[in-house]
This record gives sequence, C-alpha cells and structure tokens, in this order.
Amino acid sequence: MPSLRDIQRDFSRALLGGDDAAIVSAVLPDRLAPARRIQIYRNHTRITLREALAATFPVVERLVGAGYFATAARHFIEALPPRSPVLAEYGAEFAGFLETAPNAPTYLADVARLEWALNQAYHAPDAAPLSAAALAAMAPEAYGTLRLAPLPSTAVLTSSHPILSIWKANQAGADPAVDLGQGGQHVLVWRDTDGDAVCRALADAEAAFDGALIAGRTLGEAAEAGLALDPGFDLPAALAALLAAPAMKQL
Amino acid sequence: MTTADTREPSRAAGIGLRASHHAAVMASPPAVGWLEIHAENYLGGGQARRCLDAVRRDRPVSVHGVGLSLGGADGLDERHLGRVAALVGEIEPFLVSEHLAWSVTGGVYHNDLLPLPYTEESLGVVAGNVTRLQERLRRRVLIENPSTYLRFAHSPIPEPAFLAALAARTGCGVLLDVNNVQVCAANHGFDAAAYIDAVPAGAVGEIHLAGHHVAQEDGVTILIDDHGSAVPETVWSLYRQAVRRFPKAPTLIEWDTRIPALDVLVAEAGQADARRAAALAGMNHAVAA
Repeated sequence: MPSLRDIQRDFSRALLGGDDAAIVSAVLPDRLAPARRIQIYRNHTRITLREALAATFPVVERLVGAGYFATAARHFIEALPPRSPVLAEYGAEFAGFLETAPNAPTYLADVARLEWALNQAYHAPDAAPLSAAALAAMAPEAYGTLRLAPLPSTAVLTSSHPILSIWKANQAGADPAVDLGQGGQHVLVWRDTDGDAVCRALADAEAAFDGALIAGRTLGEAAEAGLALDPGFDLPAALAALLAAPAMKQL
Repeated sequence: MTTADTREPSRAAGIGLRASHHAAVMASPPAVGWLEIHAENYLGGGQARRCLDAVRRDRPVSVHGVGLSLGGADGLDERHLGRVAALVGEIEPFLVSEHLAWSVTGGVYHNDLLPLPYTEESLGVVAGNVTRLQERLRRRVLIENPSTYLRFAHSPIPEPAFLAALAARTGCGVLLDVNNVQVCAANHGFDAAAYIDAVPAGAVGEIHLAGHHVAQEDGVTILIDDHGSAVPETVWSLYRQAVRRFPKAPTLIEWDTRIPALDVLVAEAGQADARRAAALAGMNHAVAA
C-alpha cells in the first residue's frame, strides 16, 4: 500500500500532465472510471491556473489569442507550477518563458513584463511613501548624498519595443493602432493613492534618473545619470513626480 | 489596528467577500451579519487590504484559508503559515478555518482541495498539521469537510468519523459545508442526512452553503462544487437538518464563480436567515424556488 507521501507525489504528477497510472491504481473503481475521476482534478488545476495567468496577463492573451495562450499556459504550468498558494504571486517567470515560445511576437515577453509589474503594483504590501513635505524638511546640504528606496509597488521597465503603446492599444475601448516602428520605451509603474496600478512613459533622462534612484544610488548620482543624457533634464520636476506618484520611500 | 472583536458572532448569515464586490462594499456596507475572506487573497496591500480593513471596522470577519494544505504529508509551509498568522493577528477574526484536504506536495501548489485517503496515517498527518496551525495562531480552528470526486481504494475511516477523531485529537472544530455533503453523497452514493447525523454536534462551529454544478461524465452524473449558482433546494433541505443539529453555528453563503451582484448574495443570506429561523421554530414551511 503506498504511503500518503507517495499518493500525493503520484497525484501531483498526474495533475501536471505526467503519467497517471500509479494514482489511478490507488482510486476506488466505482461507477465512473478512476482515470476519468483523476481527469476531473487535472482539468480543474489546468483551467484555474490558466485563468489565474489570464487575469494577470490579459494583454498577452489578447495579443496571441485564447488558443495560443491556453497552450502556452499549459506548458508553463506543467514546467513551472506555483510554489505558493497566493495566486496573485503566480507568473513571475511567465515573461521569461514567453521568450522561447514558438512564433511569438518579438515584443510579447516585454509586454508580459509590463503586465507583471502592474500586477505587482496592485498587490504589493502597503508601505509608507516619502512625501515632498518630508523631503523639504530635510537639510538641503544632505540632498546630494540622500538615498531613497522604491515602494514595493514601483518599477521602471525598459524595452526595445513600444510596450506601453502596445499595452494601451489593447485596453478596452482604445484605438488599436500602434506604430511598432516608433522604437523602444521606458515605463514607470506604480500604485496611485486610490490603489490603482498605473503606468506612464518616461523620457531617456527621466528613466535614467528614476532607475538610478530605484537602484539605490544617491540623489546626486541619479541627477548626473539624467543630466548625462539630457543637459536640460528637469531634476526638480522628475523628483517631484516620483514623490507625488507615490513611488519612493525613505531607505 | 483593530481592537479585539468582543462582539458575539451574529445570528444573521454572512457572505464571502470577493474582489469583484470591493467597490460596492466600500460604497455601502452590505446588510449581512458578517463576512468571510479567503486568507490567500488578502496577504498583500492596496485596495484589497483597504476594503478588508473597512469591513473589519464594522462587521465581524472570518478568515478561511484555502492553501495551507493541512493534509500534506510534507508538513506545513512555514513561510505561508507565517503570512496567514500575521493576517490573523492583525484582523483578529471571530473564526479561522481551513480544509480537510491537501494542495501542496514537493513544494508545488496545485490550486485545488485534493482528496485524502481516510487512514490512520492520514489522521496522524492532518492532526499534526492542525496542531501546528493552532499553536502558531494560538487559537482553535475549524476544519471543513471537502467536496470530492473520487475515493481511494484503501480509505477505511468514514469521513464524519475522521473529522470526529481529528476534533478529539487536536481540539479543532468542524466547519460543516452542507453543499459539500450533498456533492459527496451524490458522487459517492451515501446518505447525506446520515452523514450530518454522524458529525459530532458539539464540534460544528460554522456552516457553509453554496451551489454546485451538475455534470455528466461518461453518462454518470457528477456534482461539481463550483460555488457558481444559488443554493439548490436539496442543499436547503439538508440545511434545515443541520441548523437543528448545530443551532449555534453561524452560516455563510459562498459564491466564487460567475459571481453575481452583491445584492444577490445579500438576498441569499437573507434566505438563509429565514430558513434558519423556520427550522429552529420547528415550522413546516414550503418555499418557492
């Protein structure tokens, strides 16, 4: 007689698309064949995890179509099943998985990264943001060496594809036309004060500044990174925008 | 944070709090006795937590875990247990519950409440995990009878006896899901009323009600516990028996797929209140579907 641990390993293998002979042999033969009973469970795992991925990556599903998405999701679920029961945290590796998906559009993985960042922004733990007023209360001579940290909901993404334009064109009611030849985009993702996950495009200098601050560089170093790309970079405006988002906290 | 909930669990039925109702709940608190959350959907921040905190300020809340895998032979995931314990510590719910099922093996979460063989070995595993959970939370939990679509060839202990032994060994209570009893009775050919009579009367601390889907698999009728419709008459009928046997247990309406507008759930909870009152009054009533 198999141990409980053996039964659970055998059941897991069948749920994830592997051989089901061992678990089928442990099931009571009844009115419905054991293999069909296992199939009920396999379908539930596949369908509900695919729905969880579709809820996190709706634009990816729209771009490739439901059939392609279902196949990709199934392969992903079987290769990289959830390691946590928090479904909102499932799919961190989906964008990387899509890099090698056959016949996928070149921009698909980066659009998935944007959707993952938005998902993270929506569900991230609460944290106290740094306000402009709190910054203003600090001694100005300390600004140059000041280091900030991103809120858990904040991210900057850079793609060689226009991922924000693609994402926007695939929102309900949006104009679906996208100029794929427009080049890459930087995107800031954050959670606004209403709790909505939002994003906007960043110019090169602002992206360098935001990225440097998020990476833990000092305010002085981040300013240099921005100014190196654009001598006219408006440092106070960029910093004010980050704080107003809110996107940053005190280290 | 919230202060300890000294309010009595309401006599009125509660409803499950779901993300699609957050805005409606924030705009106008529903006229129900209490609300239940799935722990795994409220471990982050943002809008979900904001809504939970608002609800908790004026209603009792119950925390219902769906991912602790109490039947897992590998033992509990201490990281996940810690997150659930932190939520329970902050929310101070009036009830905490989980399932007689497993969902994790080898570190993989299968997003389902998977069935156990009811053996002495399984009883030892579940009792150990329930004891660990209760120690970590420093409180008693309720364990829910699952919906199942198979039985194991070697499963000698009847499910109500397994739950009774688990309660006796760990001090846990039972969350009796009347819909799950109906689903399993139909799927496995046993008498649902006899099952309810076999559950120890003093152990039941909560009752769940929901709808199910009637499927045909190879010409065999299988009830699927999808929580996607109104409570059917067969389940209401069992509920009358359950209310009489477990009169102190608060009732919850669950609806998780094809979720309707909030007022439909509130009306369903009102239906439960009326059915409960009638059952306790010993009235013989007929109710239109």
